[in-house]
Amino acid sequence: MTKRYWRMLLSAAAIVAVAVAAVACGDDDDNGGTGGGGSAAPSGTMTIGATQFETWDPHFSDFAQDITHFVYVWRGLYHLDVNDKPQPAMADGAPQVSSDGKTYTIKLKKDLKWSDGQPLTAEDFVLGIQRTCNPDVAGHYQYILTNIVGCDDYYNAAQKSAAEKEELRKKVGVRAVDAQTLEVKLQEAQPTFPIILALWPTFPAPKHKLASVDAPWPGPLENVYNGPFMPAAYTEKASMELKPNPNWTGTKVGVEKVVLKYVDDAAVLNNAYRTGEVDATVANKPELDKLKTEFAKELQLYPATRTIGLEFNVTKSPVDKPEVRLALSQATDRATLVKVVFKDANTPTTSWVPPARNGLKGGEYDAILGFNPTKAKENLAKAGYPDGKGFPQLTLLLVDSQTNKLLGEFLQAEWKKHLGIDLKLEFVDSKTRSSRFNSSDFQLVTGGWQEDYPDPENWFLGLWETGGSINKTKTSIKALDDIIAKAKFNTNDEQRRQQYREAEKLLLQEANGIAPLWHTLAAFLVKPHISGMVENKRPGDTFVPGDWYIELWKTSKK
Amino acid sequence: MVAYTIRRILAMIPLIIAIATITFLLMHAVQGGPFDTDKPLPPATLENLKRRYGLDDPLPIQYVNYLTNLAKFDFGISIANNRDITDIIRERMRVSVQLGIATFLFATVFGLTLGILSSLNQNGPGDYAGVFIATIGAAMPSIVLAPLLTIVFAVKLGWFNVLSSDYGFTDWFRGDFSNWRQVVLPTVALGFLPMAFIARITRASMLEVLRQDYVRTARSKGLSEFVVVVRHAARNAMIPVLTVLGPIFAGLITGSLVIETLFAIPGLGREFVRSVLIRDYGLIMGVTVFYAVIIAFMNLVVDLLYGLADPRIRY
Repeated sequence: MTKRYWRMLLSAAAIVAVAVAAVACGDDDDNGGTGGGGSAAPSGTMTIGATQFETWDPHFSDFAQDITHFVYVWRGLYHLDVNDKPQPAMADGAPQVSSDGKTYTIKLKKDLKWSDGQPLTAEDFVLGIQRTCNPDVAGHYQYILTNIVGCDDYYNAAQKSAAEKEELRKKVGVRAVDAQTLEVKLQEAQPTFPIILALWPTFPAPKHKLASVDAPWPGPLENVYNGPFMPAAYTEKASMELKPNPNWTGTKVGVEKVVLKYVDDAAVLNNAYRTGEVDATVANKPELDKLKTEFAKELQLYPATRTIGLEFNVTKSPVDKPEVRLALSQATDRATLVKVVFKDANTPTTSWVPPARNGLKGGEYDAILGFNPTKAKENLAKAGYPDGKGFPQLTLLLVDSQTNKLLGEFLQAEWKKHLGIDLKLEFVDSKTRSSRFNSSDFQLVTGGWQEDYPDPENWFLGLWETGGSINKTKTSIKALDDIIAKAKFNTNDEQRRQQYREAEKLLLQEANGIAPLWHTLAAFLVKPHISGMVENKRPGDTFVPGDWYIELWKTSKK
Repeated sequence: MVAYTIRRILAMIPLIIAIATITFLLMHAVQGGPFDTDKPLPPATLENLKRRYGLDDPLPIQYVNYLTNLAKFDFGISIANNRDITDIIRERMRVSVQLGIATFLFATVFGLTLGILSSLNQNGPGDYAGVFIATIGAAMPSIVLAPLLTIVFAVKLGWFNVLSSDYGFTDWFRGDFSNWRQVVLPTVALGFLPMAFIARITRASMLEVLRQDYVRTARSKGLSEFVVVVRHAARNAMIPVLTVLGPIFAGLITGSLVIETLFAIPGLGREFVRSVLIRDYGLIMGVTVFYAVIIAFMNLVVDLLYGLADPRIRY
């Protein structure tokens, strides 16, 4: 045994010696791209710090990191430009809309092909929409297609027999008039429908790859693509390599290869950015102060379409009283909060809808919700708790994180100082917090909304109407319900936008459900040799700037 | 010994059923489910999702279904990404095992060397140096050591990579060493603590053995110091070391959350913790049961090795 043991040890030592030798004489693995810097042919390699997608199925997923991937490799009928206006992608021009606004007829471009050379037809778009409405696919984003005739009926038929489901599938209001013409029937004229036709739930599904609407969605290397790039190699949780799609007919792609490195930790990614292992990445926000001096020219900060605030369960005491909600909002110094807790990585606000979406300047609600200790005290007294006397137990539910600890302690101190009340903090893990929120089992949380699609309606529908499908704050205001119902199918765009501005006012004037605190800033690091990312960012980009325009990315690195 | 081994393997079956049951109960007792996303899902979507993954059945039925599938070695599908859990475990484990083996070799070789050298130089400068290194290793958790190594050796000096997503040494056998920059730091960061531990045990054990009569006898009959140390002292000093090597090996090959996260290594440790955080029920069960089997098996191997190391132990 001993001899054998020592032999084992010796061979182990030998392996270590080999490793050490390899370290000593290994060659540089510089992954410099080939080819010249000519503008015509794609050239160079770009490595991007990324977040691993959850699922590869655009008709199923709603995770931001998944959507980032989908737009690299697939495209819909329309595509959102940098101003978030839908522009034709697979479609040949704008849709033809019937006079009642309920029927959309869309011509496809000629000779479209999937990456494997098979023709891309209107049938593929039909299948895509049917998959999103399919109860057995259980797509997270079906709710944005509820206005398509029959989509809800099909989606709600989970318990029915296969034959019944098949009948309901056929009744979904989408059909191929011919190979190049798609027709979609809506229940109501919907002003935002052209935007929906640019989103992943309406992306085409390759009919030649899927035997039926229930067939499993092929993985990255087995699937076919109609976007500018397609996967060339993929290792889950490690990396994906994208190469240009030979059958892409849109703007010519600029780089030969895009490598996505999947890393969970932003601090790790920033170190990889420092060593040049990645050319672009999200910036680690807690390090923002340092990054501002270290990468003054490479750090990109811009407002994301995300609002976070104090969310109240308006059915629970004491935050069922409007005066208490207003007092809490007015006792919160947002500017100091953002500076102290977030090191200015967010923008203080009192608005719900970000300025990019509602056409306002911001600050409209400062007088009602903004920091004002005197008013806060008055409101608390009006609610029956002068100087905080007799104030019932109030608990703030937070996800356990370093930043949230700072945030919780900040609010605790502020409210003690200005209102004389004791805030209790409850820290839980993310799923527990979501579960408690989703079942309205809370008094107070910090939370808000990340926009799904670029329109003010996305900040209201389902969220704030009485009994709305995701209204967890139990907000219920008759006037707000009415105006949202009016705006939803109002085809007069200017009027519609005005109605949503009215809705915001109705929501915020008594801090019903929410008192907004900040809009999130997105922070990225991008090497100077890269162009086309930052220039083509949309306000909604949170993971990668310019992810909707991968074809315009370029690198001058040889 | 064969009968003993078979008996031990059979005893694993109730053990695994017990572990699966406890995990199943605990997992469902914890608040929050896989579909409690940051953004609430509409009720219709929730219902369809639960149905798609068989979570709409009552818990006892889910439990029976799970055990039935487990008996067929079917771990089911991951809720997070719709993939076969067996595939996920196999892929991730391939990486974690490589990290574990490399780290184990590092820790054992350096730990034994350090321990033996310290013991031979007791209370001398070499001993203090060895004890110093061992103390640092024991005192500094990998969550501190890993970023420190990254900043010094990758960011400042540029010798190694920050990201080790291609970690592994299987390519080395084919003569492809292109990922060497990714291998060194995670191995050292993960291996420092077990190395320190092995060094301490080796030193203590050696010191005890070196004072034994038979070592004095060996010296007095004129054997060379090398033979005394290697053949007579170290051999006997290895028994307590061997006791800790088994659990250390099992611990290392089952993956490390910290090291896999900080070096972006796609291993099973990271996957396991993530599965708990996102309540990926199937994956939690799959990995727990898999770990249970590995650890039970490693314990068996260590028990059998005792018999080989110490002829007085009989089964």
